[in-house]
Amino acid sequence: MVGITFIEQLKHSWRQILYWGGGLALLVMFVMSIMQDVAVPQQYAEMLEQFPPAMLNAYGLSDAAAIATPDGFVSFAALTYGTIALAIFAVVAGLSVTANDEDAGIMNVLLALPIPRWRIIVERTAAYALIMVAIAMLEFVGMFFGTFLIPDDITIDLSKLFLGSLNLIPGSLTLFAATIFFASIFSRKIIATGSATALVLGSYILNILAEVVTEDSFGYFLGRFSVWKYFGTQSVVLNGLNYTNIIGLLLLAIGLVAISTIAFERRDIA
Amino acid sequence: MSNQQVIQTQALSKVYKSGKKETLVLDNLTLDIHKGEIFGYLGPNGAGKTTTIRLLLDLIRPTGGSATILGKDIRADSVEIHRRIGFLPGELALWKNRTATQVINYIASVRGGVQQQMKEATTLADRLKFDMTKKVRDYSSGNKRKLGLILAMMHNPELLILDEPTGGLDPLMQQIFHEMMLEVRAQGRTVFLSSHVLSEVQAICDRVGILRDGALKAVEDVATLTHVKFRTVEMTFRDAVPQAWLPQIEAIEGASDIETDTHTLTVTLMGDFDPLMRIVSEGYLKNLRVHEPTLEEIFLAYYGNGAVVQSQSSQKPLSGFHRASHKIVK
Repeated sequence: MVGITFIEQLKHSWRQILYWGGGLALLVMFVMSIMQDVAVPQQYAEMLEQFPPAMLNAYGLSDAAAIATPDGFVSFAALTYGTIALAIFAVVAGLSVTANDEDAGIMNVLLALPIPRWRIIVERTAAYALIMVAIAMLEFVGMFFGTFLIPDDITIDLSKLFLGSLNLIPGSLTLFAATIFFASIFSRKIIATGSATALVLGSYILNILAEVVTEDSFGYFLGRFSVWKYFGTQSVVLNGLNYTNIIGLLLLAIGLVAISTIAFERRDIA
Repeated sequence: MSNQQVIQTQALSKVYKSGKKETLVLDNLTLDIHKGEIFGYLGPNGAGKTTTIRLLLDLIRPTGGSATILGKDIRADSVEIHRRIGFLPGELALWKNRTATQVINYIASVRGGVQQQMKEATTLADRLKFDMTKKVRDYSSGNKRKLGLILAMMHNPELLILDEPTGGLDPLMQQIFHEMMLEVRAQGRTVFLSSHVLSEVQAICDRVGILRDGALKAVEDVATLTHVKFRTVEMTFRDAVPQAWLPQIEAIEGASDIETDTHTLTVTLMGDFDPLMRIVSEGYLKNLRVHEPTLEEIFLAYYGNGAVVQSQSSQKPLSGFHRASHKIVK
């Protein structure tokens, strides 16, 4: 039956949504509860201005002044956690599409059923994509409830934070699709996991290094290939969504899933 | 293809490549499994039994050759084939945190016709004395096997492909399993069963194929195998066995493996008893035992010699296959 694997995946993933999304929401509420004075963001910004640019960038911050406002502070403190959490979840979820079941031997049972291989990838990918959206939205729900924990004289623009939460999705979907891709070409889970982890960390380091080198250097050029360059939420809160980045990341994710489907269709099951 | 052939393979081969190293795990397998039979696929570990099954299920892709199941190509029509077959893997792995009912329900949903399959699963569970309410991780290996059988059988497939189906089942459950397989056959359905439990194969299979080092060595009716004409004759005499008998017994055509132990004479004999009886008739015979070879002994003899009788094409009986009097293939 079409969609049964999609439904099954969602049915058995509600705990993941609850733990990851709920955990992030609580964390965001905790962060927002710290901000009891409008001076708090400014003090943080002044402190961070002393940091070297590479270190700021490691925290997903291109300019310390960006967090001097309540919106900027919340987006920095809260959405940075969301970015990291969703990047980790993207790898975990990507491995769950094929690698975990293949490693455990469950894929032998599954693929002996009247279901084509491509449907397993597509339906599970769709389910996990929805789960990632749910986690990002739960984080936003945390921000919403967090506004009740801050004093009335501090105003937070929830629409900006919503855009920041939305911006978490394309980047994490790209990392998710990359993990699916690794799992589809390598039949050994450990190699797929290592490759995906190397991509996440390598891309992260590349992004940090690209920010501290001159624009005409090769390092800066390489930085363009880092997913994290397009994953940051700081600029979104300040400048709104960058649709070119979003469309680019989503197209990359779709392309990777398409290649994964073909690769998985062609190879032997371990 | 005849519509009576449920599985047909033609020079099916599989080579695993690892760097420059190539390992041939299945070598030009040509095999026909007929509708309504229970076919035993025998061989030691590493012979290529599971590889064959994985090829048939399109889990791995052949390096050469082709195969059809129920008249459909195993690669092009795998989804259609999977709808009509039931499969039990040698090592059943399922989602540990789900209950058996959840697993059954999911697999039934993928196949379609959930209600009918759940009803059949409940009937099978009753018969196998299986509690469907527990989580998979809480089942013993025997109970996991029962769950695997339920999953494979609950949609009444036309073909059952079972890899070592009774591993972990207690003798009573093995007996029930045998009954179930005989019922499947009686309904005109087909069973392809890989096993190294020879007694099981002997009990329920119509034909067996013997695989060794990736190559099919023989396909034979179980009835033929179990009616081979060699048997071990053990005679106990009141007095010591006269040494003078031995050259005479050795001269009997079809007599071999002659052993004496003071009062006991053991002879492996093909053909009639009469020549032997005439020689020993002078002695006072206290006891006579005739031991028919089990399938296991025949099987071991196959591997013991490293050579077998070419039987699928010629359909020659295997009697005396360990002698040089039959055509031997290496």
